[in-house]
Amino acid sequence: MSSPKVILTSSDGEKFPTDPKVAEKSILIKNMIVDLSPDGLEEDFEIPVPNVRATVLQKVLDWCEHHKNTIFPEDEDEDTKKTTPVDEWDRNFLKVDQEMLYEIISAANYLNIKPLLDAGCKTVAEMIRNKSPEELRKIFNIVNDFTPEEEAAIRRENEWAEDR
Amino acid sequence: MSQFEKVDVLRHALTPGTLEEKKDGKVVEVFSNNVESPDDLMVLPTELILYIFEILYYRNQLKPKFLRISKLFHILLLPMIYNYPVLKATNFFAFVETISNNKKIGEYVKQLDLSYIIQSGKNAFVAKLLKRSKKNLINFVAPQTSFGLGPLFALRNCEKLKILDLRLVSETLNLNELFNSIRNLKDLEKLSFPRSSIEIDAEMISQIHWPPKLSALRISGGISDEFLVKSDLPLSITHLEFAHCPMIKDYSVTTLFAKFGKNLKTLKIEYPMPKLKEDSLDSIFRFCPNLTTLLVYVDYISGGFFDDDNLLYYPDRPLRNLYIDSSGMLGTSTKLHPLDLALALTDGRLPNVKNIRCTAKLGWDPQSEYVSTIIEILEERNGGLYLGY
Repeated sequence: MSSPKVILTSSDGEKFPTDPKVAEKSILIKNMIVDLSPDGLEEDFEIPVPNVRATVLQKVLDWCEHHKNTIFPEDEDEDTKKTTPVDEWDRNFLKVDQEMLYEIISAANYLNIKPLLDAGCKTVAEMIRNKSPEELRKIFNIVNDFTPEEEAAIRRENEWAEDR
Repeated sequence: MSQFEKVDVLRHALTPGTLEEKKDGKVVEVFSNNVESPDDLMVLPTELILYIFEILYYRNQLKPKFLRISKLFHILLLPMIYNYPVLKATNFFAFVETISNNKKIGEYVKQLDLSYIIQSGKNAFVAKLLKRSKKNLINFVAPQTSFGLGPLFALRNCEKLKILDLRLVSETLNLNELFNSIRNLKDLEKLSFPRSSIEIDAEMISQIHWPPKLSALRISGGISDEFLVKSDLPLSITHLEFAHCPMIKDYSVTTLFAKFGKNLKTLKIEYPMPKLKEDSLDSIFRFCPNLTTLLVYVDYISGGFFDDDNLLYYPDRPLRNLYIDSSGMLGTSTKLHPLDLALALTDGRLPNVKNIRCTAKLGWDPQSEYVSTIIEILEERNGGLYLGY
């Protein structure tokens, strides 16, 4: 008899039978399994993932599969965690179109997969660091609620910080 | 039959519509058309976009242009931009102007390093910066010039200050005024005295009110022997540094160590200390048995520094890091022989030392038998000997 699987169901109804070790890269899923089957899985365990599309869920599970044996440091301080560069494999893995990248980040956030969330956010950070405010509004779909005068005043007020 | 239809309260709360009564008496909810559609939503939740900006902040890549994205991000990013302003001669005036014109902004400043402000500073500017940032300032590095009475008084209200670094200050400071200013700083942990002359009222020395949490003190400038002998350093101080003290003689240093040495975990004595003699610091190990880190210049120790008269056998001696530096002056390259250190290590008189950093100016040959012994012992302890220049 094959070992029990975690069956993840995407928002569009596709089912992904997954090895528990892979699925448990998601802390959300790991906690669910521990809460509902404290003695370990004895049969297949179905978990709906209602806000992640099948293509995105597949991508997230590919990441979990690749990193199923990776041990990520937990006790790093914020400084180290945020300044460590993105791992080479992750960098290539996240070379996707922007919409897919945002969906992976949102899925990692929802499923609580911190290393994937970090890698995704660092990839976006590298992408936006030289962009103008106007470009950033387009990238994140943010509405500009400043008047031109207010924007000019903020530019003047913080000009000292441009010089660094 | 009921005259009312069920109203979806949750939907109504999330997207406020209006309740209207139809002609037949039924109440229905009407939603306006200007409700946000998915196209109006940001591609990521605000907290994730903020997380991305935090990554840029930690990488020192957060630019003020990001403040202009929207009002929400202006509010969210201001504390990051102003937390630790990088100030130089070229942007100092603009920063002072911003802080002066917008009272609220000063409250975001937590670290203020004015070490690069040399000729462009003015007492009034520094005092104003301290006043405006008093609410949350934790770390303050004073500028070389323009740190007089005004800024000193302004320090009194920086109640969250943990680090006060005056080492660059070249103006004469009155020590009593300084302690009056910092006596109420309940969180102050590290204090560095100015490197220049300090006026001390001898009668006041024993009455100094030390900040209650002070753990690290850097003594420099015109501190007198009398100060070291008479002052009652609080037991909270476990880290002590000396640097550029032209007036201090060995008897006052020895008296201080005899009185206070057991309390110390870190001791650093840097060159120049012109009135110390060539063996003034030989007794450090005797008086300070609880040190974990020691930095000493070979100029002030003799060949007997590691002898068993000075470095007594003490099985729990916690010293882990030993730094021996040298001014390179005539005679310093032959003062200390690696044999003495190797012997101290093999005898177990430095049982916990892991890292030793020495300067090549000691004249030690890295290939010699004694240096090899030192390296071998330290590597067995997962540490090492580092020879620098």
